[in-house]
Amino acid sequence: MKTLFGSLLIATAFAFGQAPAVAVKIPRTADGKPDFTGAWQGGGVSLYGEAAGNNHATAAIPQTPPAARGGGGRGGERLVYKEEAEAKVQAGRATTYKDDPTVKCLLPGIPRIFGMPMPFEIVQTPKQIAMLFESFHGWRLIPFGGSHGDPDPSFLGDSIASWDGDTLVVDAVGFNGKIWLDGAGHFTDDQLHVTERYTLNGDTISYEATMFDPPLMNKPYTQRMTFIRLKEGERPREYECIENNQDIEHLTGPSVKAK
Amino acid sequence: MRAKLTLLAVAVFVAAIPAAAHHSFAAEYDASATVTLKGVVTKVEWTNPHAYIYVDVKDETGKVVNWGMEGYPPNTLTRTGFTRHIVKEGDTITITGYKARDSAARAAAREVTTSEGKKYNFGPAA
Repeated sequence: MKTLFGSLLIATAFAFGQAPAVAVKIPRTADGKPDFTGAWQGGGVSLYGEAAGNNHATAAIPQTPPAARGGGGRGGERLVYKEEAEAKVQAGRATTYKDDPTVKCLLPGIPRIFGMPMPFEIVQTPKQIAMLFESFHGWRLIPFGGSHGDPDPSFLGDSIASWDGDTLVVDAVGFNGKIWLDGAGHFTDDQLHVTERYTLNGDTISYEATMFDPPLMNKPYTQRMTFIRLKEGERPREYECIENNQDIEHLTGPSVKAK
Repeated sequence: MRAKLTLLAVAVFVAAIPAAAHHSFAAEYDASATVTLKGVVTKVEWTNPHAYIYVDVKDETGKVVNWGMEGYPPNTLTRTGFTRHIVKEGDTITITGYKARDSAARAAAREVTTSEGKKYNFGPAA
Protein backbone atom coordinates (compact mmCIF):
# COMPACT_ATOMS: atom_id res chain seq x y z
CA MET A 1 0.00 0.00 0.00
CA LYS A 2 2.80 2.33 0.97
CA THR A 3 4.61 1.52 -2.28
CA LEU A 4 1.46 2.12 -4.28
CA PHE A 5 1.02 5.47 -2.55
CA GLY A 6 4.64 6.37 -3.34
CA SER A 7 4.18 5.45 -6.99
CA LEU A 8 1.04 7.52 -7.16
CA LEU A 9 2.89 10.49 -5.72
CA ILE A 10 5.63 10.18 -8.30
CA ALA A 11 3.09 9.80 -11.09
CA THR A 12 1.28 12.89 -9.84
CA ALA A 13 4.52 14.83 -9.66
CA PHE A 14 5.30 14.00 -13.28
CA ALA A 15 1.80 14.91 -14.32
CA PHE A 16 2.41 18.36 -12.88
CA GLY A 17 5.77 18.67 -14.57
CA GLN A 18 7.79 18.38 -11.39
CA ALA A 19 10.65 16.24 -10.31
CA PRO A 20 9.53 13.15 -8.36
CA ALA A 21 8.52 14.12 -4.86
CA VAL A 22 9.29 12.30 -1.66
CA ALA A 23 6.20 11.62 0.45
CA VAL A 24 5.86 14.44 2.97
CA LYS A 25 3.61 14.81 5.97
CA ILE A 26 1.11 17.52 5.23
CA PRO A 27 -0.53 19.73 7.86
CA ARG A 28 -4.09 18.68 8.68
CA THR A 29 -7.00 20.33 10.39
CA ALA A 30 -8.68 18.92 13.52
CA ASP A 31 -11.16 17.06 11.30
CA GLY A 32 -8.33 15.39 9.38
CA LYS A 33 -8.55 17.39 6.15
CA PRO A 34 -5.43 18.81 4.46
CA ASP A 35 -4.88 22.29 5.89
CA PHE A 36 -4.18 24.80 3.11
CA THR A 37 -4.04 27.72 5.55
CA GLY A 38 -1.05 29.96 4.90
CA ALA A 39 0.50 32.42 2.48
CA TRP A 40 1.23 31.18 -1.02
CA GLN A 41 2.52 32.37 -4.34
CA GLY A 42 1.39 31.10 -7.69
CA GLY A 43 2.53 31.81 -11.17
CA GLY A 44 5.80 31.25 -12.95
CA VAL A 45 7.55 34.22 -11.43
CA SER A 46 8.80 35.00 -7.98
CA LEU A 47 7.55 37.54 -5.51
CA TYR A 48 10.85 39.26 -5.91
CA GLY A 49 10.31 40.27 -9.46
CA GLU A 50 12.52 37.85 -11.34
CA ALA A 51 11.71 34.70 -13.28
CA ALA A 52 11.37 31.82 -10.85
CA GLY A 53 14.34 29.94 -12.27
CA ASN A 54 16.64 32.83 -11.43
CA ASN A 55 15.41 33.51 -7.94
CA HIS A 56 16.70 32.22 -4.63
CA ALA A 57 13.24 31.89 -3.17
CA THR A 58 11.86 29.68 -5.89
CA ALA A 59 14.83 28.27 -7.78
CA ALA A 60 14.55 24.86 -6.17
CA ILE A 61 11.02 24.31 -7.34
CA PRO A 62 10.40 23.73 -11.03
CA GLN A 63 7.45 25.89 -11.99
CA THR A 64 4.70 25.37 -14.44
CA PRO A 65 4.25 28.87 -15.77
CA PRO A 66 0.69 30.02 -16.18
CA ALA A 67 -0.91 31.07 -19.38
CA ALA A 68 -1.03 34.50 -17.76
CA ARG A 69 2.57 34.97 -18.78
CA GLY A 70 1.47 35.27 -22.38
CA GLY A 71 1.61 31.74 -23.68
CA GLY A 72 -1.97 30.63 -23.54
CA GLY A 73 -1.59 26.99 -22.74
CA ARG A 74 1.68 26.57 -20.87
CA GLY A 75 1.39 24.03 -18.13
CA GLY A 76 -1.34 22.26 -20.05
CA GLU A 77 -2.44 21.83 -23.61
CA ARG A 78 -2.44 24.81 -25.94
CA LEU A 79 -5.66 26.78 -25.77
CA VAL A 80 -7.26 27.21 -29.17
CA TYR A 81 -10.71 28.78 -29.44
CA LYS A 82 -13.40 28.09 -32.01
CA GLU A 83 -12.61 29.61 -35.40
CA GLU A 84 -14.30 33.01 -35.09
CA ALA A 85 -13.22 33.52 -31.49
CA GLU A 86 -9.66 32.41 -32.28
CA ALA A 87 -9.50 35.06 -35.04
CA LYS A 88 -10.36 37.69 -32.43
CA VAL A 89 -7.65 36.36 -30.13
CA GLN A 90 -5.11 36.61 -32.95
CA ALA A 91 -6.25 40.16 -33.72
CA GLY A 92 -5.62 41.04 -30.08
CA ARG A 93 -2.10 39.69 -30.42
CA ALA A 94 -1.47 42.18 -33.21
CA THR A 95 -2.47 45.06 -30.96
CA THR A 96 -0.17 43.85 -28.18
CA TYR A 97 -3.09 43.20 -25.87
CA LYS A 98 -4.14 46.78 -25.39
CA ASP A 99 -7.60 45.61 -24.33
CA ASP A 100 -6.40 43.41 -21.48
CA PRO A 101 -8.89 44.16 -18.64
CA THR A 102 -6.12 44.14 -16.03
CA VAL A 103 -4.58 47.21 -17.71
CA LYS A 104 -7.63 49.04 -16.36
CA CYS A 105 -6.98 47.48 -12.95
CA LEU A 106 -9.98 45.18 -13.27
CA LEU A 107 -9.88 41.86 -11.38
CA PRO A 108 -8.07 39.16 -13.37
CA GLY A 109 -10.64 36.38 -12.82
CA ILE A 110 -10.14 32.68 -12.16
CA PRO A 111 -7.65 31.13 -12.71
CA ARG A 112 -5.64 34.06 -14.03
CA ILE A 113 -5.39 35.78 -10.64
CA PHE A 114 -3.11 32.94 -9.48
CA GLY A 115 -0.68 33.76 -12.28
CA MET A 116 -0.10 37.31 -11.07
CA PRO A 117 3.30 37.80 -9.44
CA MET A 118 1.79 38.54 -6.04
CA PRO A 119 1.00 36.32 -3.06
CA PHE A 120 -2.32 35.21 -1.66
CA GLU A 121 -3.40 33.94 1.73
CA ILE A 122 -5.66 30.95 2.34
CA VAL A 123 -7.69 30.81 5.55
CA GLN A 124 -9.41 27.46 5.94
CA THR A 125 -12.24 26.64 8.33
CA PRO A 126 -14.46 23.53 8.35
CA LYS A 127 -17.25 25.57 6.73
CA GLN A 128 -15.44 27.67 4.16
CA ILE A 129 -12.16 28.60 2.50
CA ALA A 130 -11.17 32.25 2.26
CA MET A 131 -8.63 33.37 -0.34
CA LEU A 132 -7.15 36.84 0.08
CA PHE A 133 -5.19 38.02 -2.94
CA GLU A 134 -2.67 40.85 -2.92
CA SER A 135 -3.36 41.07 -6.62
CA PHE A 136 -6.04 43.68 -7.33
CA HIS A 137 -7.50 43.33 -3.79
CA GLY A 138 -9.21 40.14 -4.90
CA TRP A 139 -10.89 37.86 -2.38
CA ARG A 140 -12.98 34.69 -2.53
CA LEU A 141 -15.17 33.17 0.17
CA ILE A 142 -15.81 29.57 -0.82
CA PRO A 143 -18.31 27.57 1.25
CA PHE A 144 -18.20 23.80 1.51
CA GLY A 145 -21.42 22.48 0.04
CA GLY A 146 -24.56 24.32 -0.96
CA SER A 147 -25.52 25.38 -4.44
CA HIS A 148 -24.61 28.27 -6.74
CA GLY A 149 -28.17 29.50 -6.98
CA ASP A 150 -28.49 32.44 -9.36
CA PRO A 151 -25.40 34.55 -8.64
CA ASP A 152 -25.01 38.01 -10.11
CA PRO A 153 -22.22 37.89 -12.72
CA SER A 154 -18.81 38.84 -11.32
CA PHE A 155 -15.11 38.87 -12.15
CA LEU A 156 -14.20 36.09 -9.70
CA GLY A 157 -17.47 34.19 -10.05
CA ASP A 158 -19.35 32.14 -7.46
CA SER A 159 -17.46 29.21 -5.95
CA ILE A 160 -18.34 26.09 -3.98
CA ALA A 161 -15.82 23.76 -2.34
CA SER A 162 -15.85 20.00 -1.81
CA TRP A 163 -13.35 17.23 -1.05
CA ASP A 164 -12.27 14.46 -3.40
CA GLY A 165 -10.20 12.45 -0.94
CA ASP A 166 -7.38 14.80 0.05
CA THR A 167 -7.89 17.04 -2.97
CA LEU A 168 -9.82 20.27 -2.53
CA VAL A 169 -12.19 20.77 -5.44
CA VAL A 170 -13.70 24.19 -6.22
CA ASP A 171 -16.49 24.64 -8.72
CA ALA A 172 -16.78 28.19 -10.04
CA VAL A 173 -19.50 29.71 -12.24
CA GLY A 174 -21.26 33.08 -12.39
CA PHE A 175 -18.52 34.92 -14.28
CA ASN A 176 -19.30 38.17 -16.05
CA GLY A 177 -17.69 37.62 -19.45
CA LYS A 178 -15.32 40.54 -18.85
CA ILE A 179 -12.24 38.56 -17.79
CA TRP A 180 -9.41 37.12 -19.83
CA LEU A 181 -8.06 33.66 -19.08
CA ASP A 182 -4.49 34.85 -19.64
CA GLY A 183 -2.42 37.76 -20.90
CA ALA A 184 -2.59 36.40 -24.43
CA GLY A 185 -6.00 37.70 -25.32
CA HIS A 186 -8.23 34.76 -24.41
CA PHE A 187 -11.39 36.68 -23.59
CA THR A 188 -14.39 34.91 -22.04
CA ASP A 189 -18.13 34.57 -22.19
CA ASP A 190 -20.39 34.58 -19.12
CA GLN A 191 -20.94 30.83 -19.57
CA LEU A 192 -17.40 30.11 -18.35
CA HIS A 193 -17.23 27.20 -15.91
CA VAL A 194 -14.01 26.53 -13.99
CA THR A 195 -13.27 23.42 -11.94
CA GLU A 196 -10.22 23.76 -9.72
CA ARG A 197 -8.29 21.01 -7.95
CA TYR A 198 -5.86 21.81 -5.13
CA THR A 199 -3.52 19.12 -3.82
CA LEU A 200 -1.30 19.92 -0.83
CA ASN A 201 2.25 18.54 -0.95
CA GLY A 202 3.58 20.23 2.21
CA ASP A 203 5.18 23.46 1.06
CA THR A 204 3.67 23.40 -2.41
CA ILE A 205 0.18 23.06 -3.80
CA SER A 206 -0.39 21.35 -7.13
CA TYR A 207 -3.13 23.36 -8.81
CA GLU A 208 -5.19 22.38 -11.81
CA ALA A 209 -7.94 24.49 -13.40
CA THR A 210 -10.20 23.05 -16.05
CA MET A 211 -12.06 25.73 -17.98
CA PHE A 212 -14.95 25.32 -20.34
CA ASP A 213 -16.62 28.23 -22.07
CA PRO A 214 -19.07 26.59 -24.51
CA PRO A 215 -19.57 29.56 -26.89
CA LEU A 216 -15.79 29.90 -27.32
CA MET A 217 -14.24 26.45 -26.80
CA ASN A 218 -14.74 23.13 -28.54
CA LYS A 219 -13.56 21.24 -25.47
CA PRO A 220 -12.47 21.89 -21.88
CA TYR A 221 -8.97 23.24 -21.39
CA THR A 222 -6.78 22.43 -18.39
CA GLN A 223 -4.03 24.62 -16.96
CA ARG A 224 -1.62 23.61 -14.19
CA MET A 225 0.48 25.62 -11.77
CA THR A 226 2.46 25.03 -8.63
CA PHE A 227 1.90 27.32 -5.65
CA ILE A 228 4.79 27.82 -3.25
CA ARG A 229 4.45 28.42 0.48
CA LEU A 230 5.96 31.79 1.37
CA LYS A 231 8.74 32.13 3.86
CA GLU A 232 7.79 32.94 7.45
CA GLY A 233 6.62 36.53 7.90
CA GLU A 234 5.77 37.18 4.25
CA ARG A 235 2.15 37.85 3.45
CA PRO A 236 -0.07 39.76 1.05
CA ARG A 237 0.13 43.53 1.30
CA GLU A 238 -1.99 46.36 -0.08
CA TYR A 239 -2.03 46.78 -3.85
CA GLU A 240 -4.35 49.59 -4.95
CA CYS A 241 -3.89 49.31 -8.69
CA ILE A 242 -5.90 52.35 -9.72
CA GLU A 243 -3.80 54.70 -7.57
CA ASN A 244 -1.32 55.78 -10.26
CA ASN A 245 -2.15 53.78 -13.37
CA GLN A 246 -0.29 55.76 -16.02
CA ASP A 247 0.12 52.86 -18.42
CA ILE A 248 -3.34 53.05 -19.86
CA GLU A 249 -2.52 56.41 -21.51
CA HIS A 250 0.69 55.13 -23.05
CA LEU A 251 -0.30 51.85 -24.64
CA THR A 252 0.20 51.77 -28.37
CA GLY A 253 -1.70 50.04 -31.13
CA PRO A 254 -5.37 50.09 -32.11
CA SER A 255 -8.09 48.71 -29.89
CA VAL A 256 -9.68 45.48 -31.07
CA LYS A 257 -13.04 46.57 -29.69
CA ALA A 258 -12.97 49.78 -31.73
CA LYS A 259 -12.84 47.87 -35.00
CA MET B 1 13.24 12.64 -18.42
CA ARG B 2 14.09 14.94 -15.57
CA ALA B 3 16.72 16.82 -17.58
CA LYS B 4 14.28 17.21 -20.43
CA LEU B 5 11.64 18.72 -18.14
CA THR B 6 14.16 21.15 -16.67
CA LEU B 7 15.26 22.28 -20.12
CA LEU B 8 11.68 22.85 -21.14
CA ALA B 9 11.10 24.93 -18.02
CA VAL B 10 14.12 27.12 -18.75
CA ALA B 11 13.00 27.71 -22.32
CA VAL B 12 9.61 28.85 -21.11
CA PHE B 13 11.08 31.27 -18.56
CA VAL B 14 13.28 32.93 -21.16
CA ALA B 15 10.22 33.62 -23.26
CA ALA B 16 8.19 34.90 -20.33
CA ILE B 17 6.84 38.42 -20.26
CA PRO B 18 8.66 40.43 -17.58
CA ALA B 19 7.32 39.89 -14.13
CA ALA B 20 5.33 42.27 -12.02
CA ALA B 21 3.94 44.29 -14.89
CA HIS B 22 0.18 44.53 -14.77
CA HIS B 23 0.08 45.12 -18.50
CA SER B 24 1.73 43.91 -21.67
CA PHE B 25 5.32 45.19 -21.75
CA ALA B 26 5.47 45.28 -25.55
CA ALA B 27 2.32 47.40 -25.80
CA GLU B 28 4.12 50.23 -24.04
CA TYR B 29 7.90 49.76 -24.18
CA ASP B 30 10.50 48.81 -26.78
CA ALA B 31 12.79 46.11 -25.34
CA SER B 32 15.44 46.90 -27.98
CA ALA B 33 15.59 50.64 -27.14
CA THR B 34 17.70 50.66 -24.00
CA VAL B 35 18.69 53.88 -22.25
CA THR B 36 21.19 54.71 -19.51
CA LEU B 37 20.47 58.02 -17.81
CA LYS B 38 22.35 59.95 -15.15
CA GLY B 39 20.60 62.79 -13.44
CA VAL B 40 19.00 64.33 -10.39
CA VAL B 41 15.87 62.79 -8.90
CA THR B 42 13.00 65.29 -8.94
CA LYS B 43 10.27 63.02 -7.56
CA VAL B 44 9.66 59.48 -6.33
CA GLU B 45 6.14 58.06 -6.57
CA TRP B 46 5.81 55.08 -4.23
CA THR B 47 2.55 54.02 -5.82
CA ASN B 48 0.66 51.17 -7.46
CA PRO B 49 0.48 49.59 -9.91
CA HIS B 50 4.04 50.86 -10.41
CA ALA B 51 6.54 52.99 -8.55
CA TYR B 52 8.10 55.85 -10.53
CA ILE B 53 11.35 57.75 -10.27
CA TYR B 54 11.53 61.06 -12.17
CA VAL B 55 14.99 62.24 -13.15
CA ASP B 56 16.23 65.52 -14.66
CA VAL B 57 18.73 64.53 -17.35
CA LYS B 58 20.79 66.87 -19.56
CA ASP B 59 20.70 65.92 -23.23
CA GLU B 60 23.58 66.50 -25.71
CA THR B 61 22.58 70.13 -26.19
CA GLY B 62 22.52 70.83 -22.48
CA LYS B 63 18.75 70.95 -22.34
CA VAL B 64 17.27 69.37 -19.22
CA VAL B 65 14.62 66.72 -19.83
CA ASN B 66 12.57 65.16 -17.04
CA TRP B 67 12.33 61.39 -17.52
CA GLY B 68 9.62 59.25 -15.93
CA MET B 69 10.98 55.80 -15.08
CA GLU B 70 8.46 53.05 -14.30
CA GLY B 71 9.41 50.27 -11.86
CA TYR B 72 8.04 47.33 -9.94
CA PRO B 73 5.11 47.81 -7.57
CA PRO B 74 6.22 49.02 -4.11
CA ASN B 75 5.52 45.60 -2.56
CA THR B 76 7.96 43.89 -4.91
CA LEU B 77 10.58 46.59 -4.34
CA THR B 78 10.25 46.35 -0.56
CA ARG B 79 10.55 42.56 -0.70
CA THR B 80 13.80 42.85 -2.65
CA GLY B 81 15.28 45.35 -0.20
CA PHE B 82 14.67 48.45 -2.34
CA THR B 83 12.75 50.28 0.37
CA ARG B 84 11.13 53.69 -0.04
CA HIS B 85 14.15 55.23 1.72
CA ILE B 86 16.75 54.22 -0.89
CA VAL B 87 16.23 56.99 -3.47
CA LYS B 88 15.19 60.52 -2.49
CA GLU B 89 14.48 63.79 -4.30
CA GLY B 90 17.77 65.56 -4.99
CA ASP B 91 19.85 62.36 -5.23
CA THR B 92 22.04 61.91 -8.28
CA ILE B 93 21.47 58.44 -9.71
CA THR B 94 22.15 56.41 -12.81
CA ILE B 95 19.17 54.47 -14.10
CA THR B 96 18.80 52.09 -17.03
CA GLY B 97 15.64 51.10 -18.86
CA TYR B 98 13.69 50.49 -22.04
CA LYS B 99 12.14 53.47 -23.81
CA ALA B 100 8.41 53.95 -24.24
CA ARG B 101 7.09 53.59 -27.76
CA ASP B 102 5.03 56.79 -27.57
CA SER B 103 7.22 59.21 -25.69
CA ALA B 104 10.82 60.38 -25.68
CA ALA B 105 11.07 60.82 -21.94
CA ARG B 106 9.45 57.73 -20.46
CA ALA B 107 10.93 54.28 -19.88
CA ALA B 108 10.48 50.96 -18.10
CA ALA B 109 13.31 51.10 -15.58
CA ARG B 110 15.66 48.22 -14.92
CA GLU B 111 18.62 49.10 -12.69
CA VAL B 112 19.29 52.00 -10.36
CA THR B 113 22.80 52.90 -9.21
CA THR B 114 22.66 55.19 -6.19
CA SER B 115 25.05 58.06 -5.54
CA GLU B 116 26.91 55.70 -3.16
CA GLY B 117 27.38 53.24 -6.02
CA LYS B 118 24.90 50.63 -4.78
CA LYS B 119 22.93 48.83 -7.49
CA TYR B 120 19.29 47.75 -7.27
CA ASN B 121 16.79 46.27 -9.69
CA PHE B 122 13.99 48.81 -9.93
CA GLY B 123 12.16 46.97 -12.69
CA PRO B 124 12.20 43.73 -14.64
CA ALA B 125 14.52 42.76 -17.46
CA ALA B 126 12.77 42.97 -20.83
